[in-house]
Amino acid sequence: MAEVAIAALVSDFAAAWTARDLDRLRRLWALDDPGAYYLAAGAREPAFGPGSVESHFRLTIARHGRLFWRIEGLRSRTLDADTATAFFFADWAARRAEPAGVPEQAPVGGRLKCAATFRRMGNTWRFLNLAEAAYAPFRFFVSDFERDAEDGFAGMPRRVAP
Amino acid sequence: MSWHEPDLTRELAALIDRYVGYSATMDFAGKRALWDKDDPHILLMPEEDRAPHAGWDAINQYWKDWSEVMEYIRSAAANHAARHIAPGIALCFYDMRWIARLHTAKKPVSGDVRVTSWWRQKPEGWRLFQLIESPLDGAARMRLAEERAAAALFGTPPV
Repeated sequence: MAEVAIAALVSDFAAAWTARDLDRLRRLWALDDPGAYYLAAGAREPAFGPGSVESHFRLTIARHGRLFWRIEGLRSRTLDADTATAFFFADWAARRAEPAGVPEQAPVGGRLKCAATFRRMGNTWRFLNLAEAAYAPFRFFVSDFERDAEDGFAGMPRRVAP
Repeated sequence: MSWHEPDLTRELAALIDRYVGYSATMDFAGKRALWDKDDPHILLMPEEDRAPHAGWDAINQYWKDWSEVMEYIRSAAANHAARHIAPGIALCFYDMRWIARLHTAKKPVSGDVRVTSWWRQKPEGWRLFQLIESPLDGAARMRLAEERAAAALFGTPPV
């Protein structure tokens, strides 16, 4: 039963990012618990404590005009009656919010490996911790260059003659 | 109020330093002994892999493959911060730098990962049951490298 509730919670979390909905993100987390913790793959500093986690949500939403999250491969298990953990993949895409007059950049995206802890509060489950992990950059860049090689010369940039 | 619990952090930091130190001698029996032997669902997510290693067979195979590829690896941990997340269950964050040379490489390479580790209190002491290594993502890592280059040119330390 907990597995079903956690699957729904993680799915809701992805939907909240996609909707850039700060209130919804807040509601999905145990932000009254001082043990809240979020390690974002692109952030140099982990967010320790509810205030830092909420700041991460707020800044990420403010910095992006468009976000997308999709969950795959969720596997969860309960640790005790009120605590559970899960591993899942999150495919994400984002477009930065540019100031007026600045051309928009193309969106970027990738796949995150995520491990999380959940706390049951009454009849509902909430995120307590989340650690995102990117694919190691040294592997990522090599695999990207390998993909270029697979594309061959057909993948060369094409430009309009100046 | 501080996020971490100092006594718990000290206790887990000592175990983590042992765990990380076992890499230098490829002492996988030592590493294995710090995981919860009674948990068939342990999970290890290394930075260099696309998917986790779940269960003992997968993790033992990962360590075996690792020992065949590496000429050597040395690791050090720092900035440990631990707290209970439930009775008998704790989470510990730490930074880890590894320096390694593959059998096929001309020079050693190094990297920093942020590690989130989950521990269970057992009669024999705290034991790992889940660990994920989180490197800075590619864009942030590239930015860091360029900040270092700029700092050298401007003569200022990187932020």
